[in-house]
Amino acid sequence: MNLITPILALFILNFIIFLIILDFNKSRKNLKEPLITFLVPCYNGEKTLKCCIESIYNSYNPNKIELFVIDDHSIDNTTNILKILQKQFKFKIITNNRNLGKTKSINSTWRKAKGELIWIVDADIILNKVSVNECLKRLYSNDKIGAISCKYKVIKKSLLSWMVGLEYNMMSFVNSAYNMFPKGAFLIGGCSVYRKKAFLDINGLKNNMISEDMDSGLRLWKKGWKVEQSFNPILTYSPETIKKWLSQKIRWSAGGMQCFLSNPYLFIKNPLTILFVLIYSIGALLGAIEVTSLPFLNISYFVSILLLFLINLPYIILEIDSFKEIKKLYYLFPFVIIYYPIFLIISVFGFFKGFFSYFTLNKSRRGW
Amino acid sequence: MNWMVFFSRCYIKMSSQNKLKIKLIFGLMLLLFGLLINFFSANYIDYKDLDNINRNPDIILNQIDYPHPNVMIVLEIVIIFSFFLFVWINRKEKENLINALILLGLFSVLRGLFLPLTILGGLQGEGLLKGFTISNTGLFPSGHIAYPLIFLFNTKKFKLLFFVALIFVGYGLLVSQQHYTIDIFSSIIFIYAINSFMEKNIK
Repeated sequence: MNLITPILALFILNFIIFLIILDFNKSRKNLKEPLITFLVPCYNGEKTLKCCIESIYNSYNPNKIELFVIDDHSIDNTTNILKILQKQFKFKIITNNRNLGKTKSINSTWRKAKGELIWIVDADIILNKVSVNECLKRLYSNDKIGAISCKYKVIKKSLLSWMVGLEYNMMSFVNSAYNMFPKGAFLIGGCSVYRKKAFLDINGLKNNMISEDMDSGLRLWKKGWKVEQSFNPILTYSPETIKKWLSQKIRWSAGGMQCFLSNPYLFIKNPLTILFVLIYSIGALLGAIEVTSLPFLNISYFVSILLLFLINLPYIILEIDSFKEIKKLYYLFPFVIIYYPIFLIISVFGFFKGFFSYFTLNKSRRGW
Repeated sequence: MNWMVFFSRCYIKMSSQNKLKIKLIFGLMLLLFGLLINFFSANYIDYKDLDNINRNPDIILNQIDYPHPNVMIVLEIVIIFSFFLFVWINRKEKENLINALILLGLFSVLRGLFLPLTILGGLQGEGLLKGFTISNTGLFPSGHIAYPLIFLFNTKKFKLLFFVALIFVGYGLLVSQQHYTIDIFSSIIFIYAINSFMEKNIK
């Protein structure tokens, strides 16, 4: 490891930030107030569903909202909560007779949508006015934009949620830079808005994909649509236990590998995606040095930690809202020393799992 | 880390000021990048045999019979004073502070890139303390002149004060023979060019 590594890493990071600033400086106006169809698939979401539905009605004109809540055969109190909420907000409930999963639930519903836009919101997400307006501004400033995904801001309850928040920041930060490129960013699901025409073009979500959001983004690229990432955050809950976190990481990395193997020509055709890979490669390289030199505790270990600290500094600054919160910088230490290497190892494991599963198992099943 | 803590004061209402936050991150990261490149360049220059390089002829320096290195301490004080004045004037206009940080970062990156390309040879003479020679590397473009100019471009009040500081620092650098003439004028052109670029794309 020499000086080239940090110089290269900081160069790419600065280039990414410059692209984000250019994206910010674009002037966007929206004078329209279209009818939006919100689709909320939920499975055992009794804790978060109320906040989610209330936030939807608070962030946009209630007369221009068409809301479908799809109860995916929940076994907790979700059904009762929905019935109580339905008296206050007039939305439609669709109940599945058996647990179908998010993709099938949405695919069975979206054709009923009357709105110009289809907004898929997970049950653990809290929308806000600023984010909704920004998404609309982006959509109506460019007719080629087919879909927009929102940036997450994790509701912090524990150390794990802090770490997850930093990871989400990293993901959306790099992704936002792609708004300046012709094809746009990768689509991150959870809270994403589609133009109905674009959704028709790709014929909904694919049933047999693990990360159906990323896949639909890639298919939008293929059909000539652009995908963008909004930078105003929406609130979300993070995995509460380590077990759930582990399964999420494996699912995401395996899903990413599946998308890559399903659409390899898109990555080759769009060479700018290499930048995305590069920023993660440098992070991964430094992480690999950190992991391999951990048993020896030599100079490479401490240098790699210092460099990772510098590279991850922007993500913690995004979380700090005032000078009083400057103490939050300390969260970088557990992130770099503990979370990052574990995240790396789990992701590599997930990639391999996705790779082998793609070639060996039945592809028609969602979870293989 | 103190500078980072200091500049993080630049934002208060962060949830509604995403752009300002990102600009602050950009400034910090650029400064880090610039410092690394400068360090890299300095290492590269160390391999060169600078003792055998003679002082270059200069249109202004040749007219000065002997250098006045003690002027440097006054220059440093003027620069530090103008820095604090700039921060105090713009304590409520955080965006000006952040723009100055980005300008400084971009300048330091460019300076780091140019340093190994233009080793002009050391100036002869002694430093502030006897026995220490004046640094003979890192001349082009001048960093000293950059500070008052950065403050001048990013403030709306007391512009005249920063202009006087700029003239004084430029004059003092020549009298004390710390820089060649080309270093000082090139630095002014660099800062002007970066500022124009920033006004178009970043501000």
